[in-house]
This record gives sequence, C-alpha cells and structure tokens, in this order.
Amino acid sequence: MIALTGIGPVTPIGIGKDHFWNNVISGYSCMKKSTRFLSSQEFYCCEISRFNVDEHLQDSRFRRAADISKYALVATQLAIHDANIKEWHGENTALVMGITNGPLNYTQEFHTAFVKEGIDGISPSLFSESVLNAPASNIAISSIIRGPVQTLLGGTTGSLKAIIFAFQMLSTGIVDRAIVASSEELNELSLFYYSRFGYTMLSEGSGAICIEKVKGLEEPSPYCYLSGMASHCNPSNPKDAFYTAVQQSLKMADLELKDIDFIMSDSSLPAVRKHYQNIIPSGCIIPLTGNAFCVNAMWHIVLASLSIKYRTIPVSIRTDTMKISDNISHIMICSAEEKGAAAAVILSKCL
Amino acid sequence: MKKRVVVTGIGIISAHGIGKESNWTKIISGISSIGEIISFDSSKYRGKYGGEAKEFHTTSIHNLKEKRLDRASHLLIHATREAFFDAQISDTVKNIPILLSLGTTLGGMLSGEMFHKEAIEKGLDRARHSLVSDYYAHCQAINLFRELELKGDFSVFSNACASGANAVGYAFSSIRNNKYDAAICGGYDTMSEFTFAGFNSLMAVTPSICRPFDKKRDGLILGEGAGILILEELEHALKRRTQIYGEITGYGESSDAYHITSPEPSGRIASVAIKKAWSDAGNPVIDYINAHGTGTKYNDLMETNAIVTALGNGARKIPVSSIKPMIGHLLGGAGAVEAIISLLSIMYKTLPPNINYNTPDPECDLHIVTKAARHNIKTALSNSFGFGGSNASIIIREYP
Repeated sequence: MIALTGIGPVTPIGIGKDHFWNNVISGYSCMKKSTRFLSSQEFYCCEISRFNVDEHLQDSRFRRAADISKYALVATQLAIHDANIKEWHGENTALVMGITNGPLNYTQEFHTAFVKEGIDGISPSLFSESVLNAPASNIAISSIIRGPVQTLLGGTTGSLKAIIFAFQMLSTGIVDRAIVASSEELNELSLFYYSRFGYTMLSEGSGAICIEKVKGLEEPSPYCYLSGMASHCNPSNPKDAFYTAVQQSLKMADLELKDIDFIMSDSSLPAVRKHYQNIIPSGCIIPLTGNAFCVNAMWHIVLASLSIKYRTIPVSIRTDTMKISDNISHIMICSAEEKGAAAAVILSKCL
Repeated sequence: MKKRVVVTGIGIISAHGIGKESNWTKIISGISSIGEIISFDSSKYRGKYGGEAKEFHTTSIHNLKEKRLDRASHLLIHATREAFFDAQISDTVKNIPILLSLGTTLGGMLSGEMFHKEAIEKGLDRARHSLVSDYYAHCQAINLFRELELKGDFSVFSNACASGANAVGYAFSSIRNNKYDAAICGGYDTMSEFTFAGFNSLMAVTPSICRPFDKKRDGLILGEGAGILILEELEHALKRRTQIYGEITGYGESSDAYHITSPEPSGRIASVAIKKAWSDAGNPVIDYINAHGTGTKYNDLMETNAIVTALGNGARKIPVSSIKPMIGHLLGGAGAVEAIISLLSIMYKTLPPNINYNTPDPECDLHIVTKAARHNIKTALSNSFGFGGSNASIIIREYP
C-alpha cells in the first residue's frame, strides 16, 4: 500500500496544516488588490503576505532563492516533519516537483538587468535560480534527497502527474519514499498575460506531500492511501481526455464513480463539470486561495487528506448542496485543461 | 514481467545538420560545426561561439492554428516527424495511446526573451502577448500532440542538462513496466541569448574551443537542436516488422544534493546513477562510454571519478568520448542526441572521436578516443549530468 503520510501547505490563507485547515473551515478568503507590483493596472490576487523564510527554515543558504523555491522549501519541510520520519534515507527518497510557470520573477529580473545594463549587470545567481529545476534542486540540497529528483512541467494537471510519477517509482521499487511538491509565485507578467484570457484571482504558494510504502496501519497512521490515478491527453477532445483519466483512475482503484464521496476539481470547463455535476458532490478551493495553476491540485490533495482524517468536507469549498456521505471513504481530485490534458487521483481512507 | 524496449525510429537536428545520416557522417569525420553565433550579437561575451542548427529554419505546420510558434516547437515537431517516418509509423499506429516523454531546459525561451524585452522597452500592455503562448515549456509538447493528432499522455521533464536522458529513461521504464507499447521520447532546446548570457555570467563558456577531458579545458560551448527516439515494446515492433536499431536495457538516476551549479566533486553520487543503470542492464561489458563531457574543469573531473567509482579500475580502458566539441551542449536535447549517437556507434561499430583533445590530464585518466575508429561496440553507456546535481545514465545494446 502506498500511503500519504505527511502534508505541508504554504498558501495565502495559511501556512501549515492547522492554520490552513482552520481558515478553510472558517471560509477565509485573502483576495485583495495586489500591493507587490508597481503597475498601472489594478490586479486582484491572493498573495502570501509577510512571508519570512527565516521563521520557517533554519537553513540560511536559501535566503537569496526565488520565492517559488522558498515556498517549496517550507512546504517540503512541513510535509517531512508531519510524516514524523525517524530515519532519513536520502538515497531511497525521490522528489518530484510539478511546476507551471516557474521562477518568473528572477527570470524577469535577469532580463531587465540584461536589457538595461548589459552582460555586466547580470548576477550569476539570477540565472541559476531562474532555471526551472532550481526549486527542486534547492529542496534536494536542503533535505539531502539523493534519489531521483525530477521537475515535471505542465498546466494545472502538473502536480497530479507528479504524484502519478512518484507513485510509479514507489510501486516499481525504485525508492521507498517520495516527496511530491508543487510551487508557484505571483509575477507581474503572468498577471498581465492571464488577465487577458479572463483568469482572475491568481495566487501563489506551495504544497508538498510525503508518500511512502507502508505495510499496514502504522503509528502515526497515514492520512489515507493512493488508490487510483491516471492522466491522459487528447487535444482534439478535452472531454474525452478527462473521461479517460477518470475512468482509468476508477479502474485502478477498483471503484465506480458512484463510490466516490466527493470530487475536488479546479476545472472550469463546462463539459468536464457536466461529467460529475449533480451526480457526485463537488468542490473547489480556488474561491478561497486563488488560482495557483498546478498548485491548486496539490492544495486539493492536502485538503482531501485532512477531510478524510477529520471526516468532514468544509462547507466553504462546496460548489453544490448535494448530501455528502457521513463516512467519507474516497475523494477524487481531478484537473482538466482546455488544451486537452487531464488527470485524476483518488485518495481512500485507510481501513 | 518486464518487457524489452527497442528503438525503432530516430529524428535528429543539430549543428551538424538534419537527419541521422548527415549527423553521423560529420560525427565520425571529427568535423566541428561550432561557429560564431549568428542569431544574436555575441561579440560582447567572453565566449562568442556556439553550435547553431543553421540548416534548420522552420517545419511545415498542418493542424496548428497558431500564427506564431517558437523555434523550439518547430525543432520538436520536425524531429518527431523524421523519427515517425524512420520508424514507418502509419496513422494506424498513431491511433494507439502513445506516451510523449520530453526533456527541455528552456522550452520556448526565444519567445520569452522577446516578450520580456518588449515588456521592458515598451511596457507590459504593449508587449505582444501572443509570444507567451509558446513560451511555457510544456506548450511544445501540447503543440506536438495537436499537430500530429496524437492521443495518450505527455510528460515534460526539466532537470537542466539531464532532462533529455530523464525523458528517455521515463519512456523506457513506462514501456518496460507495460504502461505503454510505444513512446516518443527525447529532448530539445534552442540557442537563446538568455542561456548564453547566463552561462557566460557563470564563466562556464570557453572563449576558445571546447576540449573535454583535456588538461587545458576551460569551458563549454552551447548548442541547439533536438533528438527524438521512437521506443517500442519488442513484440509490438516485431509485429510491425519494422527495423530495430538497438535495445535500451538500463537506466539509472541520482541527485547530488550538493550545489545548485557545481557538481559533487568526488563523483560518488553521480556514480550511483551509472551503477544503477549498469545493474539494471544486468552488468554487461561496456564497450563505449558517450560522456557528458562538457569541457568544464569540474564536470570532466567529476565524471572521470564517477565512471571509475561505478565501473572499477577497468573503466580506464573503456573508450570514452564526448561529441560536445563538435555540436555544442544541447542542454535539454543533449541526453537524447547523445543516446542516439551511442546507438549509431553500436550500429556502425565505430567510436565517435573526442576532438580538440591534445593534452592529457592526469586527473582525467580515461581512455579518450581522439579519432574515429572501428570497434566492436555491443553495449554503450551514455551519461548526462545537470545543474542542481541531476545525474542520469542510459545503457544501450545492439539488437539482436
């Protein structure tokens, strides 16, 4: 059995599982006018304000890292701590990171220095921290992870794909433990760009989970286990991609759609929502946390783990009024992109 | 039961040209395709040279509606078409679920560069937002899916210079573990001024020539291109009666957890990747090592240590070469292109030369191949190491 043993949320509504959970329960939303970017245009977004990495991380080597790395470092540390790991075997641990936009602020700073001051104006660290695998590399260095360390790029499905990849490494015996993380940072260029396509409420932060091979119920008991998962891509028919991912994940978990107690989805595609709307109770965290691309699904994973543990689905994330089972056993987290990529992961209660 | 994984198609674009024949011919001739950069003004940099794919401009687009695609998408689509043609893949085969596993460091950075420049010079509201649509590094994979009307799934790895090898390794593992019957895998990257300036700022680029493992080595040369392999489960390939170039038998990876840009000097952690790949393949006799061999002081020393640590003192007798002095360092494309060259070296039983090697370095006491030579290569090892300490090794052997 591959179980989820630790979680680490770094979100605009709370850092750490208790802070995050309490604010979700109370329905707190942090949407406000952006104060970070000196732009002529007003943006409303969810920022992680007053974030001081030193409050969360003792290692001072990463003070100059990009925000995306700092969020990921803290989330990973929280997840590892939460998993209560007694012996750390870095060689048998993998790290898989899901990313959509990457370290855009440093990339932008690099370009600005380059255009305005030329080659002599560039700081080498701006380049090395702009590389897409910099967050994963920083985590590996900080947590001494010496197994496979991978950065997977994708849209909103990126973090679910990262979980699927980590699961495969565990199930084929490549490693005994995996950290899966996802991280994004707010950036002025992306706020401008995505606002043109109607994306509002952009957000930032990170989420990390620890998944391990377990033989049975161990102390402390895992949050849940990963029972089914699949991803698919079909650009000519995004609805089919979603349907295939859902069906394959159900098949792997040996479940039917009706067995799913709750669906957490970040997809706004009507064709996708139609698939489960009014059939399975559903919800989404974006109205509270904002949209942080592939991190959304990781926050859903964290929230689903807590929902299974506390046997309740927070009302604040509900998108319908359907009755929810008193005994929450299976939660499906899914994501579908307009361009035809889709992924689904099923978390199930440990029996 | 683990399935056997064979290579049935190859697509390659590099500074040496387009296609496996032209690339292989120039590789064994020991010709360098490195020259002064023409796509931007490199005169202000410490290093002025690079391996641009000058013969490649754009590819024909049939299904994508976008008015503008990044050069990265063009490189990727063209190399994949070539690999499909090489593997005699018809529409019938394209209709089966296929895994697309790609590695890139930069994605569509040329578009990103233009967008950033326009945003800085003209303001964000006047910068062309159409440039962003192919900037993000997963967009090229989706473009390929749409252009070739594929269905299945894609994974895009960005682990710096190990990305291409990681992508090949993931495709190999997926077929071997019976997840897919066929996969398109490989890597690509373009010559962008962002990367060029970045590597220059790190003083990693040589002002003269790239000479891996040479005592006078002083840096790398950047290149661009794409390498695509079609991998199939053996029975699947046999049923199609298509040609089989070789077999991938082992893959291993590790992470230094040491430094964001410097490799762990002892090579101990990198040796774990080699050992894992070697053990995965059943510890065969290695006849040739296609080295990562960037030509930087630290990489080549670390790689020497890693090879010897993993394979023992006998490793010093194994022929080793790096093709980077001829075509440059293709970053995300390097691992895939070098796996292809390793495969071709097995097929043609010829060792590719490590050009520009004149002064042996006692610290890099490997058997460096200075001139192309006939050699009975049955099994080759291809190494890739990247920023952040990503290490990946692939073992390829002849078929049958």
